[in-house]
Amino acid sequence: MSDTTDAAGDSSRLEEFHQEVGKLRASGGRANPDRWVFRIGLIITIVGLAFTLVSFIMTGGASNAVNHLDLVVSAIFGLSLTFIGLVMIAVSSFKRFMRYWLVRLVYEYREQTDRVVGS
Amino acid sequence: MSDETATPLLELLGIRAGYGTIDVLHGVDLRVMPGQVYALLGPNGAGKTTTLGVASGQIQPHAGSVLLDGHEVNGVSPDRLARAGVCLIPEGRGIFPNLSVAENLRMSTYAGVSYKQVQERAFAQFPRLQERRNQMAGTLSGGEQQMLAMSRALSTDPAILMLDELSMGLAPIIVEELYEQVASLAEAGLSILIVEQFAQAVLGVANEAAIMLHGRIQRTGPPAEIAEELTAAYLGMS
Repeated sequence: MSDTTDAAGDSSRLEEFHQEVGKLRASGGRANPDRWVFRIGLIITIVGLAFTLVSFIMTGGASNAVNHLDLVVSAIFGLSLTFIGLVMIAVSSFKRFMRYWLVRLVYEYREQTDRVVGS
Repeated sequence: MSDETATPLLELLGIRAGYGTIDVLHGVDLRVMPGQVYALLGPNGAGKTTTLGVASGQIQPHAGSVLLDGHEVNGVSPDRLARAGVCLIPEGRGIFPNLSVAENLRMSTYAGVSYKQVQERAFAQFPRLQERRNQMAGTLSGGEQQMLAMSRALSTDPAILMLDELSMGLAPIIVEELYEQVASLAEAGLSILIVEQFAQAVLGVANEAAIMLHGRIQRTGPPAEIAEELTAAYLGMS
């Protein structure tokens, strides 16, 4: 390939790269995103449990069926929050575990191949 | 080759990053210009691989900015960066040892390049791979595995190539051969960031070099100047 062609190829690749990078949207990112998901999940779970518990306690003092129904709705909302929080905790823990497992598999696989090649 | 007034293709500004709560990088600044070969040197544990992890989007920094062609890309996933043209060849080569050479090359067609094109490029660059096309990749020599890793990376037509410890575990003659390929890629205009513990070979092809120690870049300059200071830096005398 001639220098001219090379130069043209390079500049078109750089132009393409410039366009591709322009499409990327920086989210700011966070170190250890799983840990953040875990923490947020934990907070949501605690808030949800508190909501449910308070609603449950308040039902004892509810004077009529309408108030009682409002507190049932609040309790269901609290339980939903708890469920969402628990799912977030489970997902982040599972992802961390699976990542660790994958790394372990890769290393074991590599060692096994080295042993096969070495023998 | 590189124009200092141009926008850097890759720029790290004040990067602090690490694993868990432990910081490994303590404010790393680095810029790779278009068409430049940048050698990042330093002893084991200096933070070189972590720097590549940050640059390729695999490790999110605690502080600082990663810029590609002037655009901040903090938080962009590694696969999106790879599709844009950021390519990392990791330490240990990252090939599939139980697949054949041909099958390994087939795995790099994900970027939309046809298998025929991938093979043509790979075999033109590294003719030895053609002879070994049906051999299991894990049974190739270290140098051939590195060739396979490089050909897989190049088949994606990267804009910036990052190489982690290219020479690790290889005979000097193979290292020389691989660095000849790196030099030819650089001549063709590819920007390359190389991380190495053993500096001799890489300084021969680099335009710019830096010494990294304890998570900080201690010195940046032309390869000839860096070569003079390298021993002192490694021995903790600088």
